[in-house]
Amino acid sequence: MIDILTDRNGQIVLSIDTSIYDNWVIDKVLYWLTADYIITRRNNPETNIQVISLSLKKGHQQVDYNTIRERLSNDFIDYKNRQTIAVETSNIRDLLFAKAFANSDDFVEFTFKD
Amino acid sequence: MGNREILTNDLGDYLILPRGSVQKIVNREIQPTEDLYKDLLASFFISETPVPHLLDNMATRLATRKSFLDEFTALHIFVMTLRCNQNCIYCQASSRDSSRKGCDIKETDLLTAIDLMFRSPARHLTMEFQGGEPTLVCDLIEKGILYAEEKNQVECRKMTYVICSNSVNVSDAFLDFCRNYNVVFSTSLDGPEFLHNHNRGKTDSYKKVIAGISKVRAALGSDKVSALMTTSEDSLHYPREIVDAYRENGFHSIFLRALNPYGLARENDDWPAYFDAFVEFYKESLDYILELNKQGECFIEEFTALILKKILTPFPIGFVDLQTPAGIINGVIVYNYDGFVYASDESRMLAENKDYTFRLGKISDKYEDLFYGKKAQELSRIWATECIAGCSECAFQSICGADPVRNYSTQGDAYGYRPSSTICRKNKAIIEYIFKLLDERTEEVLPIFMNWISGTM
Repeated sequence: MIDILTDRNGQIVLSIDTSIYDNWVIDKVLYWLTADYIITRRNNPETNIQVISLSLKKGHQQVDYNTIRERLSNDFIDYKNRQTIAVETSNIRDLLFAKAFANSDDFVEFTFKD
Repeated sequence: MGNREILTNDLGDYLILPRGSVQKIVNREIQPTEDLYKDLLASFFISETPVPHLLDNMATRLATRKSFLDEFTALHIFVMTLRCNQNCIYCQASSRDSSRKGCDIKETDLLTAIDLMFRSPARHLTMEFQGGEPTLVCDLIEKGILYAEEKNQVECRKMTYVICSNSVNVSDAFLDFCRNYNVVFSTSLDGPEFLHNHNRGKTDSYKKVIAGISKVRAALGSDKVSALMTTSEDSLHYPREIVDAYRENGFHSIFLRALNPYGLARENDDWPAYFDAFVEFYKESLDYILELNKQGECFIEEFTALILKKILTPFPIGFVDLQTPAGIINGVIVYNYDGFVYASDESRMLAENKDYTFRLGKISDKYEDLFYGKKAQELSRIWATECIAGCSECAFQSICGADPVRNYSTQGDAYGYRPSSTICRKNKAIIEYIFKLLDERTEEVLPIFMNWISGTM
């Protein structure tokens, strides 16, 4: 689960349950926000909760709270799906690339007779 | 994409589905009896077995998409001189005055560079002569082509010769030579007279270029001249006028090309705003071009056609800006007038600002050291969209391309930083728009698009 709030300084504060969204997903979501925000991350001791603060960089335009909230909600689900797909297709992808780029000219083909 | 989701895979298949479809696929909620299940299976998005039965077929398709790598370095650019007889205000190549000394390639370097070119395994080699204005040293171009022809008696490659010229002052004798060797001309036309002249800071450039194009067409044939336009900030206000100027001058296509942040064009106050405006310009121009096609006139937007080939066909394209692994070295190399070899055209443009980051070595160096040397190896770690941050999860990964030189030039880092990358923003917006057309106006645009790619393949 995620909570998305704004604090009294206008910072966006996310509380992420890392048992649902691990660091792979969090990293990918936050990467696209780093152009506009200064980001700090802190794990709450003895819980699965990671608290993330997004502070708008100087000179960048403030985005409406509901817009950023909707974007973040979608992005977390989107990257979670991408992670599931990446994990489930990883072996096939490795096989596919190995097969596609194995230089078949280097192999000698034998014709077997019984 | 609004309420739709674009699904793509490494093989180039795509599906555009309602939002939430991916979640259903991941949750295994699509039933085998549903049409969507069959579409997903047929497009290789899902498999009913741990190893797909058609893995060999899939591997062949992936290899075909990357088969441009078998034609390693097909485009060889020879920067013959930095001198120019136009010196336009936005020149990306930092050209010099036509009387300036020390800006021409040495003959020995030219011939050695041609020897290097023939070390390339590509069956089809393109020799592109650039400048400045290369026709200022047409004697050297002639020597280069004659030497390549002589070597090709043994090499037996398919040769294409291209001269990138402003066409302003090409002599009859040189055109006779070009006719004999099937040379094609690539020239620059920015649009209608007022705009072309304004972009170039001249009062008579348009008339000279149009006269030059007519002369080259008369000598070599109308299909031997193509033109490129560059979209200056002023051009952004004239999408229809620019397309019409191309039509009026007998062209059947246009390549809507944004400014590159190199050379004299580097001085721009706000690149993100420029690229956002460029995308709107592109959309407006493309919509107008589609209208023309609907009325029966076949007129192609070349950048769209390149992207469409990647979306709608299993084949790769030769356009170096949309390749992964990147076009630098794999697709293109530059032999510069200064006696050095650079990874791309943009790399040599950086060198004019004393930045030699993408200089691979001297023309006199060994082929292996230039094309497989330490610098090439360093670049190879960051030149595939499949493995760089921001691109590796992008739905447009197999359509777009990696460009370490552009990253370095605009962001000071060859690896690049996608969240603020203007080229990422521009390419994503354009590719998304093309998908949107394919999804929302299928019956109207698909026949036109298929005509474009079958005619230009």
